[in-house]
Amino acid sequence: MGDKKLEMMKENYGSIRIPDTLHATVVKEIERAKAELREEDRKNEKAKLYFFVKRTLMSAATILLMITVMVNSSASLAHAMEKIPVLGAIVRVVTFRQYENSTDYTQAEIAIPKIGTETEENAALEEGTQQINRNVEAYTQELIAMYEAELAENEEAYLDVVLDYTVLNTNERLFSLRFDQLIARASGEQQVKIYHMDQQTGQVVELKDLFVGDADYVTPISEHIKTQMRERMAADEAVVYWVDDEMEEMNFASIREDQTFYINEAGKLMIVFNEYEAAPGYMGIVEFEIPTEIIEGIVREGFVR
Amino acid sequence: MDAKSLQAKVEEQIMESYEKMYRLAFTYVKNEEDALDVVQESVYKAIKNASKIKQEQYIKTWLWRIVINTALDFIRSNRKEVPIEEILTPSYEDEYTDFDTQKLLNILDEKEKAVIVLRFFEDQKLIDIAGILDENVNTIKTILYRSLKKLKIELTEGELVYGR
Repeated sequence: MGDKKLEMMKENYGSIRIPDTLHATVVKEIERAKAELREEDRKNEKAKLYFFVKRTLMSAATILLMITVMVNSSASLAHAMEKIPVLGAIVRVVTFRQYENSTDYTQAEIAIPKIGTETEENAALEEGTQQINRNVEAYTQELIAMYEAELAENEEAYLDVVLDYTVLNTNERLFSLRFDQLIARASGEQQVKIYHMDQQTGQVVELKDLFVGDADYVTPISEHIKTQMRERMAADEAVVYWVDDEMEEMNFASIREDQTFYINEAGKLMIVFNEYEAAPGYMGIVEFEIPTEIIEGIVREGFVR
Repeated sequence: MDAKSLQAKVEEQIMESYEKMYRLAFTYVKNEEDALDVVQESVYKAIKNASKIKQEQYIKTWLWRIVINTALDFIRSNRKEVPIEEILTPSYEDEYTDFDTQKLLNILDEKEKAVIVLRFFEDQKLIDIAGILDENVNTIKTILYRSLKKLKIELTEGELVYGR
């Protein structure tokens, strides 16, 4: 060692007095930090799920925004009603294309149906069908674009996109076209989208169009669904809906004004929730039948029984 | 390495070196009470962020780094609240009566101080000091030469790099 000064400094440094409390302070602090970490771990499970759900819900909302638009002024509506006799299903799927693509890792099967009417002279029906066709086109093109973009970005990532359709011809008045969408990456994600058209008026129909005027249908339907959720959860432990959960912001509050719906074979209103919308992902698509007496007096004639 | 075992390794390292952590903290804040606070906060940060360490062998340098940064943050945040007169007449003077090392070190800036302490008092390798201070080895050497010059200490190249 070349320098005495440095040697002395080192010795001096080493003799900085260590307070008696240091050991206890350090041990206590380690315990405090560890306790906090354990608490965070506990919360994490729920929070992770919550953020995933929030993200999924937001993307679902974006898609839904694009879809349904109302047609027709009341003038052309009156005109249409005068002209068309009710003859059962007049709207149907007239053509249908399929987008298909597959690689070692990915697969896409996207059905693109086109609807039309049997009677060609009807202007009002024409307009409604064209509008649904445009919406279907936009929806399916967006799915295809998403698939192709993800494929271009990473061709070795697993991705399945399947879109299938069904015509729900359960009602003389209502023509309903249902899409079941599955997007599977690491885990699958299901969605349902249903387009409706009033075969009498040619009008595209949303949930609110089933009800008279300004009637509040959201509250009675939502409350009834919560009752059903509680009943189903009490009856079966494996069943979980987001109702009465500790994390209040996660709880199902009410249906959207344009909640997905269809009329089942018995003529009852069915409310449909996409994955994560009202229940944890493993519950999948969730449906509730709404007894007609719940909406009696506010539901318009001819849709439900 | 999973989060739990990293946390255990960090805890082990803290228990092994908390006295060294304290001395380093003291060199910066210059009184017992504040040095205890700095160690306490450093321990907390280290345990809470243990899972972020990429490789086990970095735990030690990472711990040094936390202490230095915490001490510097402590000095900076305290300085804001202290009236200017108190800075001109340091109130810490009486804390290190038997001590000229601390006085000597005071002529060095923050980085020079860390380099001298880590290299000569804690026998850390230049490469590790470089890691702790986020500089390359040549910069650390330069700082080392400069600091020794300021302290009026002369060493050979061999002593600088390899110690005794």
